[in-house]
Amino acid sequence: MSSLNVNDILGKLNELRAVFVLGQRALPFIEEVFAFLSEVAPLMEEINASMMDSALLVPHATSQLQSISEATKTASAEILDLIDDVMVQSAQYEGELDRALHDVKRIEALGVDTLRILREAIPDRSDVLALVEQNVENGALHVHNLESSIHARRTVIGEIREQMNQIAMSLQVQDCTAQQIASVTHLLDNMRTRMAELLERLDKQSTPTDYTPDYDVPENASFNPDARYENADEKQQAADALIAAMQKGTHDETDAGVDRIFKNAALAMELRRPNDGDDE
Amino acid sequence: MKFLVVDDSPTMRRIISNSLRDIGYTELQEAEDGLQAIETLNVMPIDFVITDWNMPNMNGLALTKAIRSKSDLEDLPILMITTRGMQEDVIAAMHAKVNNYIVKPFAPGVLREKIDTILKTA
Repeated sequence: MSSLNVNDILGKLNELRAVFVLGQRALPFIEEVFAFLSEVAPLMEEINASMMDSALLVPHATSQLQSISEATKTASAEILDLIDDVMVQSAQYEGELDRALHDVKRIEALGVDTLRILREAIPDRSDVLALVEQNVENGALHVHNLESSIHARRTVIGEIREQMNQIAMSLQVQDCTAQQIASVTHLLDNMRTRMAELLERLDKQSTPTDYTPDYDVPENASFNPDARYENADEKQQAADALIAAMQKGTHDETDAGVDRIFKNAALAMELRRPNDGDDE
Repeated sequence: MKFLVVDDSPTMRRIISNSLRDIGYTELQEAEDGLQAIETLNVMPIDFVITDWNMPNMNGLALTKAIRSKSDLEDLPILMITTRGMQEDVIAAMHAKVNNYIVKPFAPGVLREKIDTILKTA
């Protein structure tokens, strides 16, 4: 054996020793990795199970939201039906009041007419004429009171009709909330689809169809996620200003130009709004 | 004057139709979306269209463009009533050639005012 070969062997042994030393130093780290993996495995299973539960809950939540939307739609229809009934009944009542007013005025006219006939027939019976005249005047007073009462009732009916109209207009809230619910439903359904796909990748036994909801999600649903039931005066005024500018051809359609129109409208609304302090 | 009220919400269709009746317009037709509205326009004369923006199948903007593309309907008054109140929405609607624009929730007075304005300038 040559000295060169011995040196080679010694070199290889040194390398081997270095590997062992590295292994010895790396051993705690590898142990830590094993410990970490043994801890992570159940955690991953827990996450998987939790995702599965959530994926199963999403269709339920979506279904509940849809039933809320349907319930508000039905309730709104019922309220509108009742408003229609009240409107019809109030119109009938107004008609009856009109007829009553007409009859009362006819009775008053008959009294006046009777007095005129008596004055012509018995001009010398001033005592009787005075009595009848007194009765006609009393009757006229009653008729006047009755007229006032009928007009007061008509005013009340008018107020009721106005309030009914306001209630009907307030039901626009149903459209706004339905659009908000449709927006959330759409979001939840997207989440459900993605979670089902992820679960399928994590757990080959499950399929996306396991998490398919038992309701129809309209594919072509159209909604405004920003729909709000709030005072739209400011937005309306800004829209009006923009439309007026566009129709005149004086609009500046750059972002800055349009922003200016909307800000001016907001400022105008602010100036028109009564000062809270003034009311006190 | 015959009105066509286009909205996918039955509540909104009733509210708008009732408001129109209160104003004095009694000839009313209703459609649930743009496609139904086009079908109605194909079979009967309509003098005024009131449409929502967000609807399935065909939205109000597409309906307006479809109406304006027909030579016999290009002057038909169209009023859009929508929850969309952003500036870009108003611009898009005006570019599609609606005659006027109402932001929901609206008051009955606003509806009357817009109809009168459109009819005066028509």
